[in-house]
Amino acid sequence: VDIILTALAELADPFRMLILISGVLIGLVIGVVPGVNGIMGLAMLIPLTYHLDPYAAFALLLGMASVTNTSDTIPAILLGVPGTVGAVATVVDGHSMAKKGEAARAFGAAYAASMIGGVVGALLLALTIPFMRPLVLYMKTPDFFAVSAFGLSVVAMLAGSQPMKGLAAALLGLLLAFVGIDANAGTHRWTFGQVYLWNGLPIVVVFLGLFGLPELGTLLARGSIQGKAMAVPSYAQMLGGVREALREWSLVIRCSWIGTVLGAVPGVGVAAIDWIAYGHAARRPGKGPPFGQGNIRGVIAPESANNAKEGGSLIPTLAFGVPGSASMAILLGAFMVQGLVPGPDMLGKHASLTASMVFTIALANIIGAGTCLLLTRPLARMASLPAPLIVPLVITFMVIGCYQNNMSVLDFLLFGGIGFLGMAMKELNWPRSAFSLGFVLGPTLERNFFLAYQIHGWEWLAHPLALILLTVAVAGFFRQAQGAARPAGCGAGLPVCQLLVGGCARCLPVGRELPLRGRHLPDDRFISACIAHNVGGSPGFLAMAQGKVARRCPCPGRTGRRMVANGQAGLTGQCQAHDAVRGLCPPCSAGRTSGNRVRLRQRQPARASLCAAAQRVPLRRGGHPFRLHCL
Amino acid sequence: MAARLVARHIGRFLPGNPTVIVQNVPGGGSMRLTQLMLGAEPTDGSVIAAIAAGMAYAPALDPANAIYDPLDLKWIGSLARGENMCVLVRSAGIDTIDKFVHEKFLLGASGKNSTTYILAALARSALGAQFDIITGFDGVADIELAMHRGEIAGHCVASPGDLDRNDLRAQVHVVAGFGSSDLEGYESVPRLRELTDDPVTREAVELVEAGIDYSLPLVAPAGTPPETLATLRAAFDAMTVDPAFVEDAGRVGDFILRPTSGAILEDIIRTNLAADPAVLEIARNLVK
Repeated sequence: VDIILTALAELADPFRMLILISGVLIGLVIGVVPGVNGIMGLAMLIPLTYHLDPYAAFALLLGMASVTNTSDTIPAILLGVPGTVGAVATVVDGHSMAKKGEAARAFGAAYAASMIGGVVGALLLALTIPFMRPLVLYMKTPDFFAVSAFGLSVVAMLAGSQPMKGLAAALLGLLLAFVGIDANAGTHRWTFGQVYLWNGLPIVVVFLGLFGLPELGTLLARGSIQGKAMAVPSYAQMLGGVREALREWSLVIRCSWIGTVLGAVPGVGVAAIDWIAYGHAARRPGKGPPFGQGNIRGVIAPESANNAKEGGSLIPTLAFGVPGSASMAILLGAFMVQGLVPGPDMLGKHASLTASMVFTIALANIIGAGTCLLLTRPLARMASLPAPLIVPLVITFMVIGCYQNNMSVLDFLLFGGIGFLGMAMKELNWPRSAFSLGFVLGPTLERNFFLAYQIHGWEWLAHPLALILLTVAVAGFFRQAQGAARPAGCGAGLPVCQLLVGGCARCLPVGRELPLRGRHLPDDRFISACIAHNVGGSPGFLAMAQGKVARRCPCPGRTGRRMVANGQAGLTGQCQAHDAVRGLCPPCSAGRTSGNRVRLRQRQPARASLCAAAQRVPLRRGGHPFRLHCL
Repeated sequence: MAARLVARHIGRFLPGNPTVIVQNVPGGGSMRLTQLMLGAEPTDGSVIAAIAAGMAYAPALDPANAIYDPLDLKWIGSLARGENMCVLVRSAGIDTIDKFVHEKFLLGASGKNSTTYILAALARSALGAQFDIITGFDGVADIELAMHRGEIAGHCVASPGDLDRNDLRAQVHVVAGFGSSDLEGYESVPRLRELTDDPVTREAVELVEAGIDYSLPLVAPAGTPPETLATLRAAFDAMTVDPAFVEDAGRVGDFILRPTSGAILEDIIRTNLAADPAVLEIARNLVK
């Protein structure tokens, strides 16, 4: 108690509070500008701390570093351009919300999540202080590899209904992460004689190109962020977002844990933590639109995790002087400037300073989120500004952000090249999120794999924690991939499908994602897929295949009525198609249970996997005949 | 940190007292910066660079880097002396040079081009030691954490200052030292060059050690006129004895200030690069 009171008293000094607030404001500005990150901010601020006492010095530095992941949400949500690499996952759903005129709601949720995440991260740091040294020593290199592999397994969640595409995108990301000089043998990999590539592809350029450029292209095509004139965003919308974040408190806490724990693992940076939290949230999409189309949980999860990370990455830094992140590596310089030695002393004679760091992180997050909330309304109004006004300005910042990495003309070439790749992936519906996760986890995976192998041989696979994490990762991946490949319900948030299925809920106890790319399908095919799937995926499927549907299904016909009631074009036709599936469906050959699963032929209009009862069920809808086949 | 330290002070010793701005130039552990200094930067004294010490010998020790002549660079001076020692965590039980040579254990290193690997490989080859070198760690702090975890036994880049700063003195055995610097507080630790019997090998060891002996060097671009270089060298020499600079360097704490002026540094590099090709060949093999 003495330590805590001393820390509070020291930090409450007006000068130190002023320093803290200055740090927070600097951090907010740094977070907003794409390409400029907290690492640069720390490098610039450290010389200013030479004449400050340790409490004020760390108030300035940690105050700044704690909030760059709060304000980086602003360009991520409004423009689809991540302010720092820690906001890339927020782009996916946050920007979709802005396009629908829900920017204020997204901001409210993001800031509330950031604040709670940051405070929880600080609390977890405080809780681990007494046993952080044994905790850090317990984990060995095989465990670090397993943690990274576990993070990569989230790729199945990020890929949604396209596990193979997700896997391919993640592998492409991994492949590009291997560019540079290999740390083990010193081999040049795909450097093409360019010194620029020796250190690998710069992550800021890759992410600005992959997400920023394609979104700006779309923005130009749309005319403005939200496409059409909407009502002026209000504080009520923003408060609505805050309330939603509070309602999702368990998600916020879970993702804060993810952020703190992974933040403490050296090598797992904020970019990876972001996606892992996002993937975790995507596991249960909850109400609202699907993930990737403006689901508020897709904003809350990464924002909770990236702010909680700061507390976690302080754990190995304080305990051993081993930086948990790049910004912590620079922070170590500040320890030296102040004559402090990370290690037992930080828990002994400098314990009150350590406690003041915890309070600094918590306070900075509260002040940062509060400031951003106040700015939400004017910022959200940007969503209605014409694109020709916004795009040149943002492009300018992005180009500067890219160039300051290596000060090389190759920054521009890479930016353009990755931008092209990003546009192609977006257009062809390849998950850029999976690519990102592969790219950010690649170096950690490689490094820890080789370290584990060199130190332990293949025996590293027998390490209990590594074994558990790897098993869970592999099982999780295949479960998700299987779930996506075998359509069995519409619960993953396809809105029309949900509406249709709503009346037949008892027929469809299993709610999994329907592997349709809704964006590329006209509504009628989309819905018919739901229906066919509805029939095929229900537990009473075999009964239906044998013509007993009417008896088993408690809601025959209701689907059709709902569709008509919904008043969408072509829906009646879909009802008939649905009936046709039920009526004409001959059973698959005896003994072939796998024959229950059918798939639309490739190159046919719907391009989707469906479950149905027939081997060859000709259907004709909207002039597009297609056939269902037993697999 | 060293470049920023110099930037804060050197302007006071240059004509016109210019403000010095630091520009980070990452790429290939100074290789990109070195290449820029060999042809792309102005030679009027407006640009100087803080490069890695290894750049002076990289072309001689690795044929892949034999793409430039280090003597084309204009050496202004170096700030520190390399002070490196092999340390092993006490629980590993390696407390003598005899055990260091004959027992099997693991030493940690970063990449194969890093000082952490080069010095460990040098010790292993020169002494015929049995230990394995684990590469891939993310710097010395990461290696020391693996020592604490018991995954590896030690490393070969510990300086007396590091041991004091990180409270490691009581936790490790120091078994061998490199280079010609004092190793304050560890004067009795045997030097690798003393442990090498063969005179040609010893010469090769000294050549490799020279690469780390004069650390944190500053260079001006190739083609810088002699009078400009002389001005820069004079400013460097004046700066390194300036009390405000010395105090600031002590505060940065990353290294112990032991400056070497540019003319001396250039002579040392010239002498070492003119070594017998057979010695250079042995030196190359020692760090493989």
